Amino acid sequence: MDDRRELLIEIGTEELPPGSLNRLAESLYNAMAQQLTGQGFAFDAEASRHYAAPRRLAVRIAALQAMQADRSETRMGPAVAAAFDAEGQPTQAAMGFARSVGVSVEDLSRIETDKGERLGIERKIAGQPVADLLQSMLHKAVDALPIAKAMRWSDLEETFVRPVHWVVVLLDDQVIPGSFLGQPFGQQTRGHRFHHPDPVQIDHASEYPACLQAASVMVDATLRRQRIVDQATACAASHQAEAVMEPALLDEVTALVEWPVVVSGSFDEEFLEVPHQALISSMQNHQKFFPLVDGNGALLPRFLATANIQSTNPDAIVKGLERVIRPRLADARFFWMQDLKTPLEALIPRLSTVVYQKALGTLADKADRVSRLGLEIAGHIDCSSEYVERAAALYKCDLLTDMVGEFPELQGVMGYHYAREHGEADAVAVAIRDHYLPKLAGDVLPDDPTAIVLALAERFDTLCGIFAAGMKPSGNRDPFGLRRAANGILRMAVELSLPLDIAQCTRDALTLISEQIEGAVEQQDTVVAFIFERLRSYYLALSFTQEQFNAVHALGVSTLTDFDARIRACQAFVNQDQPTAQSLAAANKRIGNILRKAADDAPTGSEAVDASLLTEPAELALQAALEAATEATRPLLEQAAYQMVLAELSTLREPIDAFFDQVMVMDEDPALRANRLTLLARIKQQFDAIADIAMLVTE
Amino acid sequence: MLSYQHFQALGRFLTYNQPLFISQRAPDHAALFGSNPGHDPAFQKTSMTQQKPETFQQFIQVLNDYWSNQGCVLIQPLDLEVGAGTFHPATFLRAIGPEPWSAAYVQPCRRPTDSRYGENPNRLQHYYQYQVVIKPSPLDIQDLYLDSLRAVGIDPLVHDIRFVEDNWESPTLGAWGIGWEVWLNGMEITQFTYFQQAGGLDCKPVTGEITYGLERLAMYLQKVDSVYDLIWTRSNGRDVTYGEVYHQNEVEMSTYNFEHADTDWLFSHFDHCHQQCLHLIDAKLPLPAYEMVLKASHSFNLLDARKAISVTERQRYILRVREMSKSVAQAYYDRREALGFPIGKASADSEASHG
Repeated sequence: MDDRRELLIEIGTEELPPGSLNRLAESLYNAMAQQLTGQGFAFDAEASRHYAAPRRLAVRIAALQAMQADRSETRMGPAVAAAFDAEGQPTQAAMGFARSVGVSVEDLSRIETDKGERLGIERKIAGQPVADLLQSMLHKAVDALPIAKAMRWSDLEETFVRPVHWVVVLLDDQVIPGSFLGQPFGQQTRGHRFHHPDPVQIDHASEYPACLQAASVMVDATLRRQRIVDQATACAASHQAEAVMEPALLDEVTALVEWPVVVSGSFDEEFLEVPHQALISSMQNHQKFFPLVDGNGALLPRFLATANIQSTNPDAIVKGLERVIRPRLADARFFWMQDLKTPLEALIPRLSTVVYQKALGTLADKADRVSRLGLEIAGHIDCSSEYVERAAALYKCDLLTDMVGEFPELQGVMGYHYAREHGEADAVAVAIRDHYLPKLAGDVLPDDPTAIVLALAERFDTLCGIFAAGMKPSGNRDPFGLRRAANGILRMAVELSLPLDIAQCTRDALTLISEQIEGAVEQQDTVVAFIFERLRSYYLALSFTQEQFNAVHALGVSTLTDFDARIRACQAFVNQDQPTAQSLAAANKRIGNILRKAADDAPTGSEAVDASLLTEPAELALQAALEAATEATRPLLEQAAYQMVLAELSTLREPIDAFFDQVMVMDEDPALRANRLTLLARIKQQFDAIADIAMLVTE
Repeated sequence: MLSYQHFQALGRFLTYNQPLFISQRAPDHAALFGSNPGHDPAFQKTSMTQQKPETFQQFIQVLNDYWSNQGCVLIQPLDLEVGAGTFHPATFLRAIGPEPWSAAYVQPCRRPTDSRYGENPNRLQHYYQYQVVIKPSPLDIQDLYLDSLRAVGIDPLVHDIRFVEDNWESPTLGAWGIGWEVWLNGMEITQFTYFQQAGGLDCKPVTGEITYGLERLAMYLQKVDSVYDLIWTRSNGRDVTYGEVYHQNEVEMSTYNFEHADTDWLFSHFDHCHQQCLHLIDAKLPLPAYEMVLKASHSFNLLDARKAISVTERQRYILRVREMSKSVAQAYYDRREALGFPIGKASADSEASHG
C-alpha cells in the first residue's frame, strides 16, 4: 500500500528566456503538484524540487505514492417518483439513466436525499497507478504554464516557450510511456552544449542532479547562483576589490549559463573620467558584467563576466570581452562629451516637442505645472522658491540628452552631473537627481528641501493628471505607476513630517491641470480617496489595524502628520490597556447610538451642562471627572499630544460605567433628559477630538 | 526615447548605438538526433577540415560552401536598396505559405542614418549581412549554425558562445519572431529567429532565419579594430583592404544621405511607390508590388536620415509601409495558392507513393 517512488520530469529545450526561467520551473512544479494532489497521489513536498537551466525545466517529486487509493463514486439518477409509472414499470428516465451507467434498472439502488428518494448507483473505482496518469497530468500541467509568448517551430502545430528536443519522465528507474510535443518520454538527457554533447543516461530519478553535474550542467538554479557569487567574490578579492552584483542581474546571469566560470578583464583607466554610473550601466545592461569597486566604493577599471565554458584558453575569452566593452565605454564617453557641449538650459525649448501624455500636453507643459505647484508646496515647507523654479525648469531636460537616450535608467543621475558641470546650484542639481526618489517600496526618501518639493509636485501632477485624463489604475494595471506615486507622497509627508494638506495639494494640482483638461477639479474626491487607500495599506503593513485607521479616517483629517500622530495615539491607547480601551470604545458607541436616537433633541456637545440639574451621585461624579479631564487635556490638545489626551480620558472609564449602571438617561423630565444628553455629548466630544473612538470596538 | 524608436522602426537589429553591422538568418533540414536526408555528415567534415578563412572574401566562400552543403540554394543579393537581408524576397516572401525553401545569400544593407563619413571604425551606412533561411526550420538548426562557426574557425571549446534571448519585430513588415542574438565572448555576431508572422500572416511551417554580421565577425577573426583594415583578399601578393574597396563610397554616400538627398523628390517618390504598390496588388502582381514597398521604405530611410520627418509623421509613414507589406503578403499568398503551392509537392507526392 505504501509503495513510494521518485518521479523526474525534465523538458529539454533550446535556450529559454532568462527573465522567466525560474518562474516557469516553479510553475511546472506547482502545476504538477496540483495535478498529483488532485488525483489523490501523496508525496513529500519538503523533499521535492524544481530545477531550471537555460536548456531545461525539471521537477523531481519525492516519495510519490505509486497507486491511487480505491474510491467509491455515487451517480444520482431520477427521483423514485419519476422512475416508475403507475404499474410500477420503469419509465424512460429510469431506463435512460440505467443505460448511461451501463447497468439495468434492477441493479440501481434507492438513495435517500434531502429532496426525497432517488435512484442511483454506488460504484467502487479501483485506484490507478500513477504511471498510467502521468502523460495526461504532464500535459495539463504544461497547459497551465505562464508562457508570455508561445512559439511554433518547424512544421509542428503545437506551441511551447522554445523548441523541445527531449523529455525525460522517469519513475524511479522506469521510463513512463508517452510523449510531449513530438518527443517520446525517455531516459536520456543532454549535458552541456559543448563540454558534453553526447546523450546522458539517467539510471534513477534520484540521480538527476548528479548526472548533470557530471555532464557539466549545474541544474539547480539556487546552487548555480551561489557558485557565481562565490567565484565573483573570490575573483574580486584577488584584485583587492568588491564585485557589484545587482540581484536582478545576478538572476539573469544565472539563467544564461549552465556551467558558470567567472573571468575578469579590464578597460582603459581614462574612461573613469565619465560619470561612473554611465560606465556601470553600460557594463551591466549591454554586457551583463559585474563592475568592480574598491573598498571606498569607487569604480575600478575592471569587470567580471560569467562565461558558460571552462575554456581551453580563457585568455581568448577575456581578450574578446575587453574588445567588446571598449567601444561600449567609448560610446558612453562620446555621449558624455557630446552632451556637455549643450547646457541643460539650452534643451528647455525642446521639451515642448516631446509629448508627455496626449491630454496633458508636452514635457514643457508638465514642467510648467510642476513648477507652479512646487511653488505652492514650497510655501508650506522651508524651501527656497528660486531653487524650486529653476529645478522644475530643468528637471526633465536630461531626457533629451544622448546619454539618457541610450541609458534611460540614468535619468536624473545624468541631469545632476550636467547641471553641476554647467554651474547650477547644488540644490538644483540634487533636486534633478533626487526627485525620482523613492523609486521603489522601501527606497530612501529625498532629504534636500528642493528635491522634496519637486518630488511631491511631480507626483501630485502625475497622479492628478492621469486621473483627470481618465486612466486611473484598474486591477493589476497601473501603467503610469500611480500607486507608487501615491505611496511616495504619503511616505514623504509622514516620514519627513511635512505639514502638508493632501486635499489642498490635490486641489492645487487639479486646478493647474484644468487648464489642459476641463473639469479636472471634479476628480478631487476620487484622487484623495485613492491616496487614502494607499495610506490604509501603508499603516496595515506597519501593524496598525483597520479599526485604528478607520477611527482616524472618519475625522476627515487630511494633513498626514496629524493623521499619523492620531493613529499612533489610537494604537498606544489600545495596546496599553486593552480592557479600558474596549470599554471606552463601547461607551462611545453607546453614546453615539443614544444621541442618534435622540435625533433632533441631540445636543452638539458645545452646550454647557447645567450643574443644578444633576441629581444622581453617578452623574455628579461623571460631571466632575469630565471637568477635570477636560481641564487636563486642553493644553495637551494644543500640543497635539494625542496619546496623553487619551491616557487622561481613560480616567473616565469607571465614572462612565457607573453612570450607565445607575442613571436613566432618557428621564421623563425633559430638562433632566436634555442635561444628561448634553453631558454624554460632551464626553464624546472629548474623545472625538482624537479619533472616532467608537470605531475601535472589535467584534 | 525618440532615438530608441528611431532605430527600432525600420529594420531589425542592433539596438541603438551598438557599433557595427549585423547580419540576419539561415535555413536547412535534419532532425536533431535522427537522420536527415539533407544533412550529410561527410560534408561537415569537409568544411571543418578545410582551410580557415583568412580574408573577407574567403570567409564568405566558406559560408557559401557550408550552407550549400546543407542543401541551401545559393542566391545572389537583391538589386534594390534594403536595410536588412530579411527584406530580400527570398526571406520575407518565401516565409509565407506552406512551401519549403532553403537559401543562403549575402545581402548588402543600407542604413542611411548610420552614415559616419568613413570616420567611425565600427559603423557603416552600407555593409553586408550573410543570410540563411530554411523552411521548415530543421530541428537541429542551432547545431547546423554552430558547425558553421566551426567551419570559419571558431572553436566553441575556446570561446564563450551563447544564445541570448532577443525576439524580433519589424513594424514595417508586420513581422515578428522568437529568437536570440548569438554572443561570441559577449559580442553579438548573429541574429537567430524563428519567424512566427510575416506580413501579418502566420508562418506555417516556420522559417528559421540566421543572419551573420559579416564585417563584425571578420574583424574578430582577423583581429583588426577598424573595419577599413579588414583584408578583403590577397591579390598579386598585395593585401586589398575593405577601406580600399569601400572607404570612398562611405564618404560620398554619407554626404549624400545627410546633405544632398532631395527630400521633395523623396516625399513624392514615396507617394508614387505607395500608389503603384496598391495598383500592382489590384493587378495581382505581388512581386513588383513588393519592389514598390522596398523603394518606399528606402525613401523613408533617407528622409529619416535627412531629419525631414517629424515625430508624429514618422509613425504614419511606418504604418503606411506596414499596410503595403501586409497587402503584398496576402497577394503573394493568394498567388502561390492559385498556382497550387507547387514547390515541394513533387517530392511529397513521390514520398507518398513510395510510402
